[in-house]
Amino acid sequence: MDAIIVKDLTKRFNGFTAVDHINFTVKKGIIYGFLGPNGAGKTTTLRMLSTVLRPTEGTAEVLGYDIVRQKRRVRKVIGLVPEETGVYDRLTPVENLLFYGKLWGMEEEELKERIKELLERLSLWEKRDELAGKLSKGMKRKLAFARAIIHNPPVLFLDEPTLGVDVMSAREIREMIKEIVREDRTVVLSSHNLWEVQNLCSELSIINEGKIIYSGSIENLERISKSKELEEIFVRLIRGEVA
Amino acid sequence: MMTAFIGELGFKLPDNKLLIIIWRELLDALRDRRTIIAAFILPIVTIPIFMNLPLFFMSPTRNPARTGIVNLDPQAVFLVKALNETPTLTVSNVDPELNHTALVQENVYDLIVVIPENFTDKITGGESVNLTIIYDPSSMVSETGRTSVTVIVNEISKSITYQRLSKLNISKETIEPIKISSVTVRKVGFGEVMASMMLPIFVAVFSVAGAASFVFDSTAGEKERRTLEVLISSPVPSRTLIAGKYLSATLITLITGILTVASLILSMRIQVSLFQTGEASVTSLEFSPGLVLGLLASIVIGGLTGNALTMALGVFAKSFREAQQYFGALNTIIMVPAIIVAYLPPRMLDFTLYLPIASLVAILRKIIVKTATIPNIVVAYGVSIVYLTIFISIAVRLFRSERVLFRV
Repeated sequence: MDAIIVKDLTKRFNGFTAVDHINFTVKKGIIYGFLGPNGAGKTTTLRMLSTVLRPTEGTAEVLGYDIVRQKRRVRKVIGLVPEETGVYDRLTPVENLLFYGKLWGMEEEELKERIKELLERLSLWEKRDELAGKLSKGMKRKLAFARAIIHNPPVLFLDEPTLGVDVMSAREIREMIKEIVREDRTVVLSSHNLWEVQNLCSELSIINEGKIIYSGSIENLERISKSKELEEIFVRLIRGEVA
Repeated sequence: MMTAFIGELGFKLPDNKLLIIIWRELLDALRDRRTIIAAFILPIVTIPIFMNLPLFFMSPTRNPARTGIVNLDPQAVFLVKALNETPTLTVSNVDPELNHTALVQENVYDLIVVIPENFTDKITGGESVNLTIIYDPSSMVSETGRTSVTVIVNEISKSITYQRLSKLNISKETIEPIKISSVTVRKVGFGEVMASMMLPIFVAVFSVAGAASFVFDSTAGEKERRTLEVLISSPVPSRTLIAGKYLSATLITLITGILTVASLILSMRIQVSLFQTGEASVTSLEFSPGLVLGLLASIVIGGLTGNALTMALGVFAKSFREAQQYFGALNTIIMVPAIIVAYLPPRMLDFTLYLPIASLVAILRKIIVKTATIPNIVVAYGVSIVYLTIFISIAVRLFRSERVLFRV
């Protein structure tokens, strides 16, 4: 079964079409890149897939659940790291994770263990009792990542997961992303860090002005654009220089 | 430390999404300085200060009027003695040669009493005599001092009149052909009257404003900080999210309301003791079961209504600051009529029972002065519940609107 199926997904706001009849499929157990320039429709698409926004037209399924008619089921199987971390500044890292773990129905003992595991893994254990507002930007992003995977979701939506994070921590996050997919879980990764996308993702979609301009494997993209530099390919695609 | 304890408590919470939401909201609130100040500290600190500090400085027994006596009649001992024994006056002699008007203008004295020459002889001789009081009408202390002197002099004057009449074998009734006796229709004292004007306003103000900072932070603030998006993508129905925020706000409002009432009552008791004179007898506010129920009902319904309104504003606003600006306008529209109601004559209160928030002020006033009827109570609280339902519906509708939540 494919993890995500998107069919003619469209979103309009007050006459402006942010996402225009896009179609793509994400296989299970892969890291799927989702790229585009600013304002292309990436965040809107991720918001629709994570059921935060309702599509104007079209459908999508996440693990077989319809994002409109089966919203609650979709929400149970996903984790989300938006571009803004969305951590609660007046809660500690433990409390942030506890809150979301509880919302996802985790039991006390399991939750305590999982919190410890994640915070240690992401080098946040020593900061566990400090208010999240006092953490650095990079630490908050790691905390947001921990929050998104606290309940071991089968599907993860990551919007700039390593933005502002130091090299060592970014590496930790990438390692964890790779581990996630080794467990047959799926990650949709949106990032402006094309090196990261090229090294983590096997397939991707590129969106520009609300429309998908490429969807498929990175290997195929390199072949048709006759280049191995994703940045160069990306720029040429956006400029319409690659068919 | 207390909030750390509450944080730990989170692990013990049952699998109830509403409780989990409330836990987080309250934990966040207790660590938010704005909420602590607005909801808990302000009612305790500001009410006693605003109610009592000005009066403390104006209290005639604590700040007696500095009264100068220009005594041109050494025989007028009885008058000087009477003035000396008045606790609201501090009396001293003034040199007759000085400029007495200037002394009062320059605040050397609050007032000066000039006892003319032959004061005593004229009185003894059955004549009338003029006593001059030089005072400053722009000064409360001076005015209060003048009143004290006038009261003393009038008492002495009355006593002299009765003595003169007695010598002429004329009874007091000759100069008092009409006597007034007042009959009260209900047992309401000074305490109740004061309380009926102040208590409802404070209950209304703190019911609406007490948790406003928290509500705005919980709605517009979450939008601004982008924590709302992650919350919405969690498996919690939107009705549970908004119910959790609303109930947390209501709990805070209840605490604010109770602190407000307790603080107000304490301030009033202090105030009453500051204003007590030797003769006035003051009744303090009696807490009948009806009054306690009325207070609780007003605090609860006022808080629920106020929070529904502020929640609608908070959800609509893009940011905390924008929400505060809307709140300023709301205050004018809702609170000004409520404050006016506190001072309306009783005959005009009935129509105000239909206005939002103002109805709670009106019914509380009526309950305190014991004029509330069952129909009044039913109308006031019934209408308030209708408004509450409308405001909650608006808040929920706005919370479910993508356009509003993400202001696109």
